Amino acid sequence: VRITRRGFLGTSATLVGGIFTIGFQLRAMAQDAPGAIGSAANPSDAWIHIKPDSSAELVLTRSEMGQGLYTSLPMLLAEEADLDWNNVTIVQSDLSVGTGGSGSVISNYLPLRRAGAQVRLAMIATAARDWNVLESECTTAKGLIAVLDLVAEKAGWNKPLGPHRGRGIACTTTYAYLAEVAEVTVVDDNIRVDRLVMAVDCGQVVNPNGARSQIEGGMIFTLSSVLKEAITIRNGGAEQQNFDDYSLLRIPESPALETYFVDSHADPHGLGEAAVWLTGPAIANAIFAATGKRLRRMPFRMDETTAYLMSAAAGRPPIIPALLIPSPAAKTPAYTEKHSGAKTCPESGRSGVFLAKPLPWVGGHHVYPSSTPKTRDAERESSLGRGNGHPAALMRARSRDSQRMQFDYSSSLSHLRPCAVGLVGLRCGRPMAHRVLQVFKPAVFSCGCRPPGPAWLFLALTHLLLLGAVGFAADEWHANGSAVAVWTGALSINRFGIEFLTYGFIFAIAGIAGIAGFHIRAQRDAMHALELERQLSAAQLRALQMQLEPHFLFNTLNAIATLVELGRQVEAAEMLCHLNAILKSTLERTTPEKVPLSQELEIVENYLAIEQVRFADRLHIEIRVDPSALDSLIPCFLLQPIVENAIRHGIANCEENGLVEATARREGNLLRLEVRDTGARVSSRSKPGSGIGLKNTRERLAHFYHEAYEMVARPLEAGRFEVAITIPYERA
Amino acid sequence: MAHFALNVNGMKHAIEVDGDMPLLWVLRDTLNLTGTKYGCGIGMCGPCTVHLNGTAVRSCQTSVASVGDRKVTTIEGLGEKGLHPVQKAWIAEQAPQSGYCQSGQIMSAASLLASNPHPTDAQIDDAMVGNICRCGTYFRIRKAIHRAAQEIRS
Repeated sequence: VRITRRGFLGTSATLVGGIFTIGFQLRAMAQDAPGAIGSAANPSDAWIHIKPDSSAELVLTRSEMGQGLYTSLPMLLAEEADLDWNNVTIVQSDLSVGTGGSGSVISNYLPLRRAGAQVRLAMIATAARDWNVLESECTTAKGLIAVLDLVAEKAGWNKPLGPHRGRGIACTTTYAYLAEVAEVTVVDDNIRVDRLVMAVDCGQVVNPNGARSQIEGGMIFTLSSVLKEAITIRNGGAEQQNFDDYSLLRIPESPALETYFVDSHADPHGLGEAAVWLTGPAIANAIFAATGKRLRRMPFRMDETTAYLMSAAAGRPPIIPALLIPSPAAKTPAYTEKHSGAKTCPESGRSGVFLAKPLPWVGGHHVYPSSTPKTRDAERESSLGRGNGHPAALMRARSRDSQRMQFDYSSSLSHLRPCAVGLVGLRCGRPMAHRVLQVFKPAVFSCGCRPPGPAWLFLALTHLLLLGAVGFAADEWHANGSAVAVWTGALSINRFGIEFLTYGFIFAIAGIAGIAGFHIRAQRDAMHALELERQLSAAQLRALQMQLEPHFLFNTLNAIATLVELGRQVEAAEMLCHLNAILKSTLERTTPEKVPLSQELEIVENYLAIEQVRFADRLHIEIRVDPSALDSLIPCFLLQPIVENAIRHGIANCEENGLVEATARREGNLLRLEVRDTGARVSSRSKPGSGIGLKNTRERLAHFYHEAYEMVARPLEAGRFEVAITIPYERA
Repeated sequence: MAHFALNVNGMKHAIEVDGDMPLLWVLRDTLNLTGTKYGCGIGMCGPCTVHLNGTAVRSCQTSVASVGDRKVTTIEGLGEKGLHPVQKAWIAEQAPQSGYCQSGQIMSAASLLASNPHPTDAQIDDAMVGNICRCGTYFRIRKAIHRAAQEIRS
């Protein structure tokens, strides 16, 4: 097997790869299962032999009887296998199957297509294996090969370029076949595009000047968008308002352009915006060729701090994972700030993607329970209004009560008095005389001193009963005209009625106040519960955000890819396991309120393991756990945010190596958790205990343990920071 | 409002406008010479380019009061007898695509060639840097300027 290789090295797999074309000196045979695809009445096979001179032999099981097999089938095969149909010959091998009539074109159609595709794939697989490249980097498409050959020739692909210069290539099929070569010079982080060469096969060119203009416009348009035209969004809108801050490519940056059309008489297949697709990849590849740096963000900037994972084919030094996160000094904040769309966190001063405000659904619950206190209160008020408050009603009630007292009842109730006094004395345990006196004082007077309660109610009832009893007795005393009448004059059955109504009124007010108070308390509790629930969701969300944050995921995947590339499969597999565990624990968790410490530590360890790979030597981790503490219950997601803070605020800001220490131990009935980091400079810290994360943690602890917890977040000496939590030990 | 006597494309125009009014709007709205285009209004893009005594200026940044008795030339008046050599070169090279920026490009190019009949690529870049072309015709503009320079010389 001899295959022609036209390797365009230094191209990117993600944009358009190193393109290798395959000459057709490949011998292959493909066979479709007999009868598998042709109709039942017309089973058919197709054998294809590719000969060393790249001609193909098609062996049919049907005979040509003027149905057009000799014309149609070679074209079909040529199209499917990217062969030249003039070089396909047909061999009739087995006449016993019969002619199949005109239906034989149909019955041969699918077997032939399938066989043709197998031939094509076999060629690609052979090339990919022999050259150790991806199959996706190989093509047999003749149109693409033609434009690649043309552009490579016109651009002088194999001519060496000077220092700081690079050449990149890209190709695509749209309506047309296009291939483009870019030449760039990169000096002192300045990217200059010197030349763009495009080869196009769009079939017959109807208006050459217009087509050329279209290609040139496409190249410059894209050049502008990949080198300029940054748009940043702030407060929901583009920050750029006019050409003073939205920069377009201008004439000094416009390179030499060359456009070549393949001389073709095929039908025009259209051109359109095809040129726009290629210029970016070609320039990115050229920059890579010149500098070894992959740029993955537009507009291209050489100070972009993106890790690259594809080491160049030409023996570029391997990339160590520690490079994946540059130390802060290596960044150019102005650029990052302006062009990455990232915001700076007011809490930590770090850049990243932050939510400006809580998600609407987190704070959007109604805090009222489903029953409506308003309605109940309204009912209560209306029921009170029926017998109370209005003077006329008061008078009616008074006269009715007094008549009933005077005529319907006898003095038989007078025995209640000593009984009641005894009860009150017993209840209150105060000197009897004082109690007795108090009983005669209308309970309403004591209402202002203390809230109505069971004791007050009892007092009031006793007072009423006594008054009633005395009232009955007084009538008799009046009738007898005794001296007692002088000091009992104020006591009458009428007064009983008034007091009865007064008490009724007071009870009603107290009832309303009680119910209102009950509802207010219920609402406050509900709000509190909701707030805690929200915070738990927020903690989970934050964990999710951090772990699923595109940068985190991106860096993790990059690191994995690098590990694979360096042949460190075991570590790569481990890292994938950690990522898997994190995704699983965050996505599948139904947020129990408390989990065993061991479970919480698993999340933390998985998280740390990934950060460990990202930060490599910069991050040292020590986790010390008292085995007896492992089964202790702690609030879910308690530790993870704290550890995350330690890394984000401590280690990430730290230019030297950093250490994160987490300890958990049991001290009698208490569980003590500590997270410490040897962090950044003190000045870059937020003040101790001021962070939202810490505040939430504190509130969640208060919810679970009320007063029985202790949480201290404080800076230690030399920029270190500690969060220490003590909670009651609960066995899982 | 004030009275001004403007010399535009060799013709005197008596107009009564606010002295702060940019020349661009006087040309377009008052004199109805709409070949001069509005782009950004802050002198950053160039389609409003006209000549004052043969020198390219951004008419959106030039108040009518500041024109005085200088001669204003717009794209409509560039070719005194038929097409200006720059315009001919533009056609020969088929430079325009959408065409919106081109009257400004041509005015800048004509101003350049009037003062420098042998411009190098770098000098062309310097003179034309203020004119943006969204369609990306810079390559042809440069070629057209060289062609026009040749025609002017011969």
